[in-house]
Amino acid sequence: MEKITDLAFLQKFSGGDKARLKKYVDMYLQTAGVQMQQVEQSVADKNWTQLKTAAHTLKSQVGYMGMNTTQELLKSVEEHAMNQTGLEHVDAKVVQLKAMIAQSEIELRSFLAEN
Amino acid sequence: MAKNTLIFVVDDDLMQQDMLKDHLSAMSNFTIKTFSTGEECLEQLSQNPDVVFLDYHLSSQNANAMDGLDILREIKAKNPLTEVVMLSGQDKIEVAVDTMKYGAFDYIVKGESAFYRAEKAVYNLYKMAKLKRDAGMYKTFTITFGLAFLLMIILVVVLKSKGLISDRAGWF
Repeated sequence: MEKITDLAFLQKFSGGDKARLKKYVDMYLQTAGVQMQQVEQSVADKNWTQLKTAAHTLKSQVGYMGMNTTQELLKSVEEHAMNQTGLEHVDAKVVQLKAMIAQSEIELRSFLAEN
Repeated sequence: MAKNTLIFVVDDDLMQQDMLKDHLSAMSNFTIKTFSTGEECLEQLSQNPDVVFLDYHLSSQNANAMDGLDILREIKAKNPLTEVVMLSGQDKIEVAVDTMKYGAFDYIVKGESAFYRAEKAVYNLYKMAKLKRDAGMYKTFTITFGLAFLLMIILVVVLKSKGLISDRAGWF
């Protein structure tokens, strides 16, 4: 399976400081899953304001992990929620997102274990 | 800006908050305080921060939290000299215009370039503070020089009226 994460930016940002890089990755691992649950819950509750906020927060975090496709998908979910249009596409997009976040967690946990 | 620059970073996204704090700390010996809500920042406003980096969306943890625009208005009303740099995940011109209208110094879209932009904003604030200081110095110099010149004219008039000096130079 092709890798979904790319830590090139964070590696440059951390200036070669591995502990700093691992701190950011660890912060992502602590919050991304929770944020994803909030995205799912908001869809289940049809709470579009909450969905917009949850997608918005997760969007920045996946960006720093180099997950550009996931970021685009979150941007589109945020827009569906904000404009309350195309909501029929949200369910399928959230399923895709959930799989992407789960894959990123596997990749990043493995990165932490190796470094 | 004061020599020991105090910077507040207000963001409910802890990763973003931490990354910005780390980046600014590496720039210079700033005192940096972080807050997850705008309300916490307002409570500490009496510390007179030089710069506040303020997230536009502050409701990810608490839906009832005041958002960035309200906090910006409060900061500018209470501490007009504190400069506020807004951070947002939205690259929307109307959002940026709104924040500028309420007195934000700059508007930064979150992402990889945000840290460089934040660094640039601090540099621009230093430059602006230096220009203000220089302008103040020139103003003081102009006033002092003007007063000295005026005193000299008054002295000449007084001495002339008492016949102590004349228009004719002594060597003629």
